[in-house]
Amino acid sequence: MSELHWFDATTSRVVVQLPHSIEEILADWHVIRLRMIRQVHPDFTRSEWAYLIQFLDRDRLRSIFTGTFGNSSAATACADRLLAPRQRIALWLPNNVSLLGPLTLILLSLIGSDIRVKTGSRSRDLSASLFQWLGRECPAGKLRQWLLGSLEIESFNRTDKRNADMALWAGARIFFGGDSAARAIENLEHPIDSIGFYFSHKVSECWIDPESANEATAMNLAKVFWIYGQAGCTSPKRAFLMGGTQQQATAFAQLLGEVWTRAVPERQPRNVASETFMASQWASANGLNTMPLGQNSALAILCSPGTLPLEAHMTIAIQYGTPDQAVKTAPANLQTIGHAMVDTSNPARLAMLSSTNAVRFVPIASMHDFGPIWDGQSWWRNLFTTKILGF
Amino acid sequence: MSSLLQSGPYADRDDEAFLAEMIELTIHHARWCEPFRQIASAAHWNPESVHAASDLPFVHVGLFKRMALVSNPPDTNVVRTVVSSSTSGTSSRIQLDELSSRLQSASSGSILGDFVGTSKRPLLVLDSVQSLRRRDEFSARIMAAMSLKPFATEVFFLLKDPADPASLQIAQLECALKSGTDLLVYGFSWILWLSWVKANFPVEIAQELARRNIAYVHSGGWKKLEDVRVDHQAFDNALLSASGPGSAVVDYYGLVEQMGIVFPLCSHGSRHVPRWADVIVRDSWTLQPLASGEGQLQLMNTLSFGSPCHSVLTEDMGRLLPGECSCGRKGRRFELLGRVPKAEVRGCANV
Repeated sequence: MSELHWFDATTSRVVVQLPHSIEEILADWHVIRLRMIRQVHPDFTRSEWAYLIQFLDRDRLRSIFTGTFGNSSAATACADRLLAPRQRIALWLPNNVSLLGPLTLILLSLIGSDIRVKTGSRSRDLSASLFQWLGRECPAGKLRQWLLGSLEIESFNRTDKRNADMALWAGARIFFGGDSAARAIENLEHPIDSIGFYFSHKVSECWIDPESANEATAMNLAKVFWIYGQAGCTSPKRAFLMGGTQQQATAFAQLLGEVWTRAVPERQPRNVASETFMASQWASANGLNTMPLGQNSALAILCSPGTLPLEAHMTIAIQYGTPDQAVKTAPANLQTIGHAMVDTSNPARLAMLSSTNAVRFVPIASMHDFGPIWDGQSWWRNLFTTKILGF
Repeated sequence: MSSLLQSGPYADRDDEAFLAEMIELTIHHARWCEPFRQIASAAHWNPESVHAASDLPFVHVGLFKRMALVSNPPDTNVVRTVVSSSTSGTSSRIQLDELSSRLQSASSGSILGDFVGTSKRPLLVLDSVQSLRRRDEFSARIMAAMSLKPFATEVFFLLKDPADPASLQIAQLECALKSGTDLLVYGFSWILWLSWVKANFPVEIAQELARRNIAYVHSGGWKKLEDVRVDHQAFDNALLSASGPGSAVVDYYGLVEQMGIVFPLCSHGSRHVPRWADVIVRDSWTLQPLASGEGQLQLMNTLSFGSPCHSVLTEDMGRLLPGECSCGRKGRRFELLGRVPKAEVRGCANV
């Protein structure tokens, strides 16, 4: 049996058809969330677990609906659109993906479709771990029913025949991973009326006004950077001081070094610490100034605008120059700009933003926030097909 | 240079002389290798303030894979470049000059001679002769094999294809068996296992080998064949059970970034440091030297002039062993604990 839910958009009313009651599924997630607060899953770091708990907040999950369809409406008359989710969704997750898998699946649970997930074959898979745990912990109800009856998670490599099976089966394909793998999936035979969302390799950075290059900004930057370093698409590869000087950039790097141990609670694994030290020598050998962050936890490299001549997991470039230089040296695959600016609504700044390929312009602290619009695509909304209603 | 080579590798140490030679060598590299000068400068290197070997600057081993680190005074005679066998896809490239080459040969000969004896016998190399035919560039594997040449009456390359452990040439083995009684066999650990232990020798050859005194020398570990790895005891037993009385297995640890310095495992489970080298164990996070406990190994030697390999922080784990070894060798010793564990990098980008 399906349930109907009304939302008042600015100019219209939509009715969304789901296989469950929204409040019922939110209540199930709430119970899970309370259990998660008491018990950290051993496969997750504490920060990953905390992020999931925050993500599962009932109001926050409800806002996925209201943010997409408008406010929930008690009135049932005069809807002009009927939205129904595609019944079969295939999701591809790469090897090193961390929370994106679980977060995407949580959002997919809200629409209740049948889901097939392909996880990487070379890494420990957080999605399977989490959803196996949920299968045990979830109270009887719609969410449990979905977990046990509609969700299938498998691990295999990119040449496995099951990739083709998934593509042929699904009405929607969601892919996270590298560009070539994305093309390979898109080239698989798939239903003509199906759709695909491809989230391939992206990078992010921070834009900071010299006036905002203070301790709070340094704390925020440390917190968003240390989680994934260079490995996260929403993790900043560089922090650019807009209109700043070398002296200001140096001072900000020093500030970052000072706040690091307060902002970052855990030390890095030994291999990461070793690589970070190697990066500090690599930078020095290239004549670059560096600022160690924590005990080989990360490394800030001071340099003029442009690409760094080295790559290491926990290095972040601190650059300075004119706003024009920031735009000109922004990478083509830029996804998110985290900002710390005095006036973000300044039309000149918005014009600058539009001349990059960035699709998110958010406060630095919100850079990792995942949602129903990603890489500029309303992927969650577009999992619904639209039927026109006329009365 | 390196007067320390005038005594045997495990004679009493002269730490003062070692430090003096290391300071000279560091000054040499800081003068002739600009990247090293920058690294030493960032580490606040000052020869005047060095009181112990642990005060000297060191280079992370990974840097040799990422940039050219060479020290070329005007009179340098570059002999060749040695390339590491890579498990990560990127190789270290180490420039070898004539002086270093001479010192390193003397060093490895002295160390290995202490373990396998100095008598000459046929040397059987589990590699292909093709590996020797490149003029300017040698693999670390062939360099390791050639370090045993001073103990060889003749060298036999047993593999037809250097990449295929199954390409053992029985005819070459038969020739070697005809040319001497005792044998010396060298191979990377995984190749020795696959091409020798796992080989199906013809019965008459197997019977002949079972009568011969064979010194097996292996190094290099298991590389990408971790799934077929056997423990040290099983490895030795498999080799010795098919060999004659007096046979022995010598497993040594060495790096292409430390040519000439090898650390064979002694019969009491220690790896001994020759008097022209030193080992420091460092905390991975603070980089402070550790007197006890596990950490990353820093290897030092007084032999490397062509490249700043004289002081290298490795990505191998180890710990210093206290007291004297029952095997009778003097000086510092350590236990090798394997590679720095690789924690999975999580994220969502292409890393």
